[in-house]
Amino acid sequence: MRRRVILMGLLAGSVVAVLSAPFVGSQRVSVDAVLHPGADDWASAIFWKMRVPRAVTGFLAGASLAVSGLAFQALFRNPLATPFTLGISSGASFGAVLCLHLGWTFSLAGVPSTVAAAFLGAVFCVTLVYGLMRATGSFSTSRLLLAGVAVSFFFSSLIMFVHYTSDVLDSFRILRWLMGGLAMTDYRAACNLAPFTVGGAIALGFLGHELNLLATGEELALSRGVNVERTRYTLFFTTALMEGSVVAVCGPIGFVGMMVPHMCRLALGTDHRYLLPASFLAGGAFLVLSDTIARTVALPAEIPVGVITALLGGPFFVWLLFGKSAEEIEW
Amino acid sequence: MNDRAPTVVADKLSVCVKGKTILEGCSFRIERGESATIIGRNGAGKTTLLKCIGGLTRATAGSVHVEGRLVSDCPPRERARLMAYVPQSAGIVLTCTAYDFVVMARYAHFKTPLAIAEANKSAALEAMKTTGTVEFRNRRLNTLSGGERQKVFIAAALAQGSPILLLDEPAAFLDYSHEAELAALVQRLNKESGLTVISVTHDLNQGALECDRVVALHCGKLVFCGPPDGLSSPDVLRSIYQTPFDIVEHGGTGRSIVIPLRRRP
Repeated sequence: MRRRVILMGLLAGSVVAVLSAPFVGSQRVSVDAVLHPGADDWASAIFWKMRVPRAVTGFLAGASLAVSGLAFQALFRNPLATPFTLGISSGASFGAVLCLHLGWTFSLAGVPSTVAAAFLGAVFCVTLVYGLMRATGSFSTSRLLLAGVAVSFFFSSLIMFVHYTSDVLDSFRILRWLMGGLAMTDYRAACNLAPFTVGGAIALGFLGHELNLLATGEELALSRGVNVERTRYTLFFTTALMEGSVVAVCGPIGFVGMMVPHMCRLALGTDHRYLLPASFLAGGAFLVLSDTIARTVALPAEIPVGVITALLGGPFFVWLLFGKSAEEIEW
Repeated sequence: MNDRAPTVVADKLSVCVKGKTILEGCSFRIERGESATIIGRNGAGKTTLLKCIGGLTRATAGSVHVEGRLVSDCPPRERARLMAYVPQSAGIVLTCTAYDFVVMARYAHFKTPLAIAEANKSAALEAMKTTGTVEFRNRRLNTLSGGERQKVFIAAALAQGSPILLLDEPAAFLDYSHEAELAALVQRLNKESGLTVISVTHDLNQGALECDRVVALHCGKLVFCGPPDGLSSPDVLRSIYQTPFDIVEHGGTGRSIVIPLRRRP
């Protein structure tokens, strides 16, 4: 009962966040201007063409990051696991960085070149990690984690190398991309992201029982009748696609995937049937909120949203660490 | 007893992990309704044998049939409806509540991905009543004592509704009163509920001498399989454990107790 109330609250909060975020910003937008847009109405254009798609993209990205973080924490039984741990973000970043460095500008079925390159990088990286796992003969989660970290470091050094050999302008664009952000989003970005977010969330939504059992340990889950291998593959590739699409569109945005699932656990307990929808909603709302802060706190400048999520996330973890509820998220 | 038929049949079971032989050519049968105990020294392959029976570890060669089905070919859910496994719970830290843990064990009976049917909830509660764990249904597992946690683990296995119970060192790290309580519970499940119980222990005094069948391993090989009477000579025990024993009978209960003798330097 209490859990349903919290879920309804999160749903209401998310709706409010997505609806109200576009009204906030340096340009005042009145409800009247939004509902009756004139042909050359500046406020209405800002509202519909910039802030609404930005809020929608932010919600989708945050939801994807939080849900995949939740799934990975259950799969690895490790509170610090995020899909970034498996090198997805480094792979995607390398793709985008390479693309920026070489000055490729093409468009793949309407998808801009950096986004396409980042997504390909993510997919390549995931396949590499997976291939390494297969080559060693067994799919153990600790090995997967190690393979992911190894691949992640490898791509990070490649990024550093490309970054180092770039000129000042490219270097700045690379750095800006690596910070992540929602500044460059439009409806196309939202449309690119939506199928991955929605499809992935639905696929994971059906795995609530399996995630609950996996969180008690693989062997126990296996003994209870979970098809551990199949569940693991499904989780691995679904979250990889979700995460890859987010990094491709928004760049690497940290902390959402790690922090939001923990907040949901504190409020809702350990049942993933509630944690999945809660993380989806809370992650989306959290990123919309962070982005709204990011683009208004230092007006007229805009700071990368990753700075805000990390600034909120760091102290939050310290608070968790000293709080009495710390033991509830331990494994 | 005519209704007795083999329920677990292991045939030339071998397990190798990275070139190291853990089990080698073990063949034995355990009959329906029996309580069987797997004994042996540390590292003899007891837990591996139990996991092999339960389908949690794959055999490198040989086969295990349970209720006439080849375990390695059995889909996970059907396997779970045949056998419930209780791991050594001491090292497992879980933050979910006892009730959630027990009801989750009904997974093999779940029909929908999101809901849990009433029948499963009542089966979970029933299992908690049988094991005397209802009182901490809302406690988190990591706040329970070792003995309480072990009972919740058994409740979960019981809720699974399988006719065969696999227990890995169920009494390890328990004090005497919890050990006795647990032994009585397991005996009740075996004798009254008719479950086939297969447990692993290294301590002969933890029930091995009162069960129906002892399966003894030494360095991965089966060295003894039969009723515990066959262990009554200290020489047999010595060959299993590589250490001298005395067997004494306790006057009050008539139970046999083994005493490992210390080698004099």
